[in-house]
Amino acid sequence: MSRLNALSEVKGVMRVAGAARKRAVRSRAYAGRYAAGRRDGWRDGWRDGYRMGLCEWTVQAAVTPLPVRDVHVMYVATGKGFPYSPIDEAVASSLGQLVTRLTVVGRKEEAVQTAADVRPDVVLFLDGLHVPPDIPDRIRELGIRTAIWFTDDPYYTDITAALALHYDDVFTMESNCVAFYRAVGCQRVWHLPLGFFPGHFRPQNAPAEMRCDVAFVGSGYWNRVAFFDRLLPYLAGRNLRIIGYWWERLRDYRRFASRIEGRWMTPQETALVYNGAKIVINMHREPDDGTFNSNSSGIGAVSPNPRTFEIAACASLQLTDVRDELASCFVPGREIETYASPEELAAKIHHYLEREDERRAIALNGLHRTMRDHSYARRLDAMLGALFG
Amino acid sequence: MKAVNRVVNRVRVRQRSRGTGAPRVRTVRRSAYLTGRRDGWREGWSIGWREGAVAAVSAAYPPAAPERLPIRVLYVPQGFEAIDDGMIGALQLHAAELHVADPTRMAEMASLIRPDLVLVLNGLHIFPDDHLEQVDRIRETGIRTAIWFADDPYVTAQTVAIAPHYDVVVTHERSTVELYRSLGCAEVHHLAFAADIERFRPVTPPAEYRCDVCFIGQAFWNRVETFDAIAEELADLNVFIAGDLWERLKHYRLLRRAIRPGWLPVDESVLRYNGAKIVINLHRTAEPGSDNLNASGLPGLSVNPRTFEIAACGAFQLTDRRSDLEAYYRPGLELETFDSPAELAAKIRHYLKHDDERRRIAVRGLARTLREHTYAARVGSLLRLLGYGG
Repeated sequence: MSRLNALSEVKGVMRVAGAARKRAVRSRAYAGRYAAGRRDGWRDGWRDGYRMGLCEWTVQAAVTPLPVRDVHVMYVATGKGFPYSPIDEAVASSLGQLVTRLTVVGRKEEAVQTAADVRPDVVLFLDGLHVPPDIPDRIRELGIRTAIWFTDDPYYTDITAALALHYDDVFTMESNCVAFYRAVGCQRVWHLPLGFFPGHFRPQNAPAEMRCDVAFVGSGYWNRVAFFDRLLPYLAGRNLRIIGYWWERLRDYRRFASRIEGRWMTPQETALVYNGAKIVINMHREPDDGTFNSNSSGIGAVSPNPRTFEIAACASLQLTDVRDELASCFVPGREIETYASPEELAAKIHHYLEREDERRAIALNGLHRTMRDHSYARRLDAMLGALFG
Repeated sequence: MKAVNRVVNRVRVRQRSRGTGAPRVRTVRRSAYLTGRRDGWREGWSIGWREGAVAAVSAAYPPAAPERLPIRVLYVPQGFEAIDDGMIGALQLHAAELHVADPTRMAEMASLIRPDLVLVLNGLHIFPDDHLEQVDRIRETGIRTAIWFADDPYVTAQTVAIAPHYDVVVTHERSTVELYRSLGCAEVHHLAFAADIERFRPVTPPAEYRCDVCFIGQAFWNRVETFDAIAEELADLNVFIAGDLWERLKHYRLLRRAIRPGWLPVDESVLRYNGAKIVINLHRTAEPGSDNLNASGLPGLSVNPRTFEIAACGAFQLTDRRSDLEAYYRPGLELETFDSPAELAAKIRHYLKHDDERRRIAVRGLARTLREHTYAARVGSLLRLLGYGG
């Protein structure tokens, strides 16, 4: 009996030892998985951190302080969409850094009364398509200067031609339109390209689910659809994202439907998409595009769109079609890359996806240039210089 | 009996988990992997960020390539390797010809080489007893002599005897300029030291060099006071302190594990600065006392070479405030400052919590250093002060 007891006890001990061994094996397995995760995480973290570290100094070195002018500017918000649209936020916030006093009016209907109350040095309107001309007229009757910055030229020149005369100073983002407004009879006309707002567009670390190889953000205007019809077959194996309306116009829509999101994004979300893409495609609208276009004078477009600056500010490689004035904003091949055909675009996409160093060098040069030269603050500083010397 | 119970329990557990066992194991493995991934990502990010920022800054400020001046210089080192090497490297860039002489043979070398300038660093410690006679002999042959004092104002008891023997006196301590002038020295300049960026540079050190707070230096009494005041705060952190005399601390026991006694080789210091989240810089007191030969009682207004060296490593520096500091770095932007132990403790707490802020300041400090506080830049200023070149 005692021998049997002893035996079972020995067996028991052996079984316990076996369990301990299993626990040990399991904890070794745990440690192994943990180590594998740590290794992979480290590699990704390093890559993301390295990019942001590079961007950090690139931005720091590029941004220099701007002068503050002792003037009082009243800004009439466009009031489109939700109460404080992104562009209003960009302009109001950038102006705030440049003048000693800023008054922002949320509703154009209140512009005249507020101007009479606060007596600013200038009242600035943006866009102005929806501002009845009697508003600037009545402000001018008060002896207060008015200025407008047209931000959709040349696509609405049929309308803006009539509006421009109601303002003392006219700024247009399209240099082709300067002569146009002069011909209409405006005395003081300046070319002032749009810019980007670092509060929205800047280098950020995009979450994993926002990452892709190639991104395009924008509506499916017909010229773009025709272009993408030819481009897409080349990009079959690539992780592609297209975000915007009207892309069901694509010939092969169903084949690419999983890569397309027909929706509108906030600037913040757009910035994350740009940041998360290795390559961002920029494609300008055609000045004669039939969608929402009132440009019967057939004025060409030579100025880059604001997206050019916004993409550059997110430190991704930008591949853009060429507008005549692009080279005065970015040095092609150094600060930005260009294409003239779907074939060239596809070839460059393949080239740069394989070459991270080249891609990053151009992206960083572009980031530096846009932060230095193309922010809304820079533009508004130039505007204030034109207005007040 | 205990063993049997354990076996029974084990079987019960196995029965309960039968059927769901495999997924559970997978979940455990998955969570192990994900936990590892998260930890690894954070670590990789901070190292990658720093390396990226350093790469961008270094690319923005490539090494200087100054125009060579048609002068021949004989340099006499002090044996402060960090300063000597920086000076020699920079003089090689700036001067058409550079020779380096041992202090025991400086007069002999000068008579052989006949340089335009004999430049002596500090002239203390290892310098021989006939140092001043040698200088007199060099001057008699019409060769210009200059000395650059590096220990002012702490050793003015000795430097006042040395200075009048030289044509030019340069001191890194602004407060002593008038002292040398009052001794009759005709040409006296104030010029700070700099960082030898070949040696003090950003690197990614091995994991064992990483810590929260680092201080390297001797335990002068003013330092002891400060560290005693924050000892309890530091006891909870990963701290590294290197230097002699730290057993002077009242709270020695609290910090004993963090202290590495003795002199730390320069290359080790570089790794320590690089591995620390916060590097403390605390100037020694200028008050005359047991730690000092400051017979003049002049204050310390100027910053130590360490200020530049810490910044050159791309490290976040928390320094006490000398009145000259703002001429070199912008507090709050390129480094941080403290005026009291309480402020030091508060800023340690703050900056350990705010990684991004801390990293940005460190990178700006590095950029400022590469732009303005290299020996190449400083020796250029020195030679201009002495009237060579434009």
